[in-house]
Amino acid sequence: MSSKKTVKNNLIVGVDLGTSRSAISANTRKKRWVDSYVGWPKDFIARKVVGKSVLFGEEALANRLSLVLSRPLAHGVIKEGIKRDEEAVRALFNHLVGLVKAKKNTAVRAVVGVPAESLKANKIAIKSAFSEYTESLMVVSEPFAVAYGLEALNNAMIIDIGAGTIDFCIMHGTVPTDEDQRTILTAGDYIDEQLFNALKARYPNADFNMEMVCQFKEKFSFVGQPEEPVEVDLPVAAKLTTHNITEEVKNACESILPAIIETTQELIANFDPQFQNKIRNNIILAGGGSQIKGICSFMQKTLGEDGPAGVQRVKDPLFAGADGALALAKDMPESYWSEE
Amino acid sequence: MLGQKANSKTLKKAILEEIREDNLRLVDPRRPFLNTATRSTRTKPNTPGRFIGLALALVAGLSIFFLFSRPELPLTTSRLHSDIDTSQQLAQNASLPLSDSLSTDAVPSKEPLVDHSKVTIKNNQTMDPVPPIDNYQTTINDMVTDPTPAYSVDAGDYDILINNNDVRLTTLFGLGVRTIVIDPGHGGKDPGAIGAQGTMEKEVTLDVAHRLKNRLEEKSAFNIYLTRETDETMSLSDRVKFTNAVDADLFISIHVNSIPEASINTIETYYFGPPSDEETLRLAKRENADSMYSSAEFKKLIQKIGNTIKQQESIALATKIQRSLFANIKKYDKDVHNWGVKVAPFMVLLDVEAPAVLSEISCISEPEEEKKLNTADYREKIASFIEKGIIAYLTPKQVQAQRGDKDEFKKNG
Repeated sequence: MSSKKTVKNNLIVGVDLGTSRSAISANTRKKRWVDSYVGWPKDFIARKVVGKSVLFGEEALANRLSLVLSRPLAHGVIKEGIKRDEEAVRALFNHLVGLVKAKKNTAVRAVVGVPAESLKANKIAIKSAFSEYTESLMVVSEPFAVAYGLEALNNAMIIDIGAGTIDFCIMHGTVPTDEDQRTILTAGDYIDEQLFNALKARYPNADFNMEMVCQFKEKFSFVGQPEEPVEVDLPVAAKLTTHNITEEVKNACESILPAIIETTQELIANFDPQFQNKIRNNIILAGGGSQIKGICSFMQKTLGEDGPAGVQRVKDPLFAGADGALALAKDMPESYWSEE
Repeated sequence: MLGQKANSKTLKKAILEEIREDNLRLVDPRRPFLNTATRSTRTKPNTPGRFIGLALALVAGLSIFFLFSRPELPLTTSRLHSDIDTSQQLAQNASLPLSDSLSTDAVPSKEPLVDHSKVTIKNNQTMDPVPPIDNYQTTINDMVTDPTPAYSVDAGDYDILINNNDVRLTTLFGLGVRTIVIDPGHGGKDPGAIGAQGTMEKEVTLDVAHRLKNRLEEKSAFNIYLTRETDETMSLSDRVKFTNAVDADLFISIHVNSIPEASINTIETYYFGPPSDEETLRLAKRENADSMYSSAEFKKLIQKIGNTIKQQESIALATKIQRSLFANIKKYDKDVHNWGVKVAPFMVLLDVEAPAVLSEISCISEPEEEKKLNTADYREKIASFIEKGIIAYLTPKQVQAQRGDKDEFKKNG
């Protein structure tokens, strides 16, 4: 039980733990994000080279040859049974909190967003993993956190297109139940795989890796008609050569659309007929995948075949989940925290 | 539409309260739901005839049997679009209001935005083949339903993978077991079968379930729950709701058979499927008596049968439990009949999301067996035999998960 004085000094944070990136928003108005990578030096020489006992995000990626590298949040949840990954996710959370924490001994209250259909075991794992770093912590569905942050709590659908999962959530004026939510796994990472395979098939002599492919996706992703040809430089026998990858990027990005459309239609079709049009007219895309050019138009056109449809994207996909979780945390009555 | 921002303090307060309850329920799964009415605001109208489920359910079950016998027919009629390009105009959608935190790239255009001919969806949802049921008097080796057709997996083809029983998908994806729900059949006003000496099925199932729970808790780190802890009336739908609420990974329903017309002791274990014979239908009718499901709900539930993981794991679990029960009880009753692993339309097995089996651990109508069931020692033995079956099911699973050895399943059945 916290005293009023303690409450005033609490650090309140909203956290979005993602497969690819994790973000934190704090009541101090600080916001930070990191790539969801954690690395430990392989040996004492590596420790000396990198100068730290643990590295995160971009820094970990840059030094990956010296590190035991972990991307612990497969599908946005802790990989069960792998101690290294459990340790990594704890370290990642602590690192995120450290990025926004002004004083060392400040008590932390957190709301953490997890994929919509996370198993209870995973929610418990997250709660227990972070308990040592927080005074109190609550776990909510990630798309619900986005909806709360936007105050789109009634007659809306949130589609959070992440790297590991795409989370769907219908909001109808209450906390969504399992029936209102879906999670599918053909998300950003799936696009990377498709693009990688397509490029390998078309340009067998070109030299590239998955990380480069991921960068191409983030820079050029689109569906529908390209605004301009997509050309990248790839080494062929160590010589940089320009390659046109327009068709490959388009096909890889469009490969996730059928599942998105089908799941959206299914969730809407299962809803009360009188409200289906309202939901279809208020679809909000979040997550990194919402930045794919043309995806709102495509979905609006395709879903429009069933009735009036409106699809929009959040303006800040990186922090929409963390901001929503923070909004929840700030609104949470004091007595609710003390029960945790 | 975004002008519909919910600013109502009352709504927010209710939502925050539900989040708190959901989080508290993570720690205490038995915590009751705060407000069921609030949680189920999916206001799709209820279908009339909500409580006439059983008769229609059985009819639907028979229909499914015909579907099973024609595997070329798809199970569902889900809205899968093989070509999502039509020429409908969407001018009315192009002028949606925007909030500060939202944007859209939706601009009316005469040109098609996407080459839809390249966007295709495969309909993967077909029925799982149901293995044929052997006749009753089979040996233990013969009776085990073999879920392993002799064709190989093309790793690049998900259609083949999903429809191929050669690989247990839980093994392939390294899925583990954390929570086991044991369901003592009947209870409260429903005594279940009653033996000639007055022994009630509900008492035997509850006692065996408690013993099984204790055994599993002693030796493992699993979370073990009973659907009912005491002699209380509990509908099948409530048992299912509870099981799904605790996110069970395995569900084992314990029952005791009764065949007054024949003085025999039998053991049989079921997973969900269409009835295979008159006797199974009779049993299903008895065990489904308090299901409280409507026909509409049943139709919805039946579509879940295509769930490959659940089906595969239910068969494997049923096989292990049945094997252990029969092989061990035979040491005490050489005349016990092995009725094997069977499929039947038990409602309690259908809607549970986890792999689910129903085991008829004994036959209370057989006088000698009823006497034994009245001893704590025998009930403890039965619990230990079920436990062995569960452990046998889990053990190769762990080995397979670690080794990725697909052939292990073939060897272990």
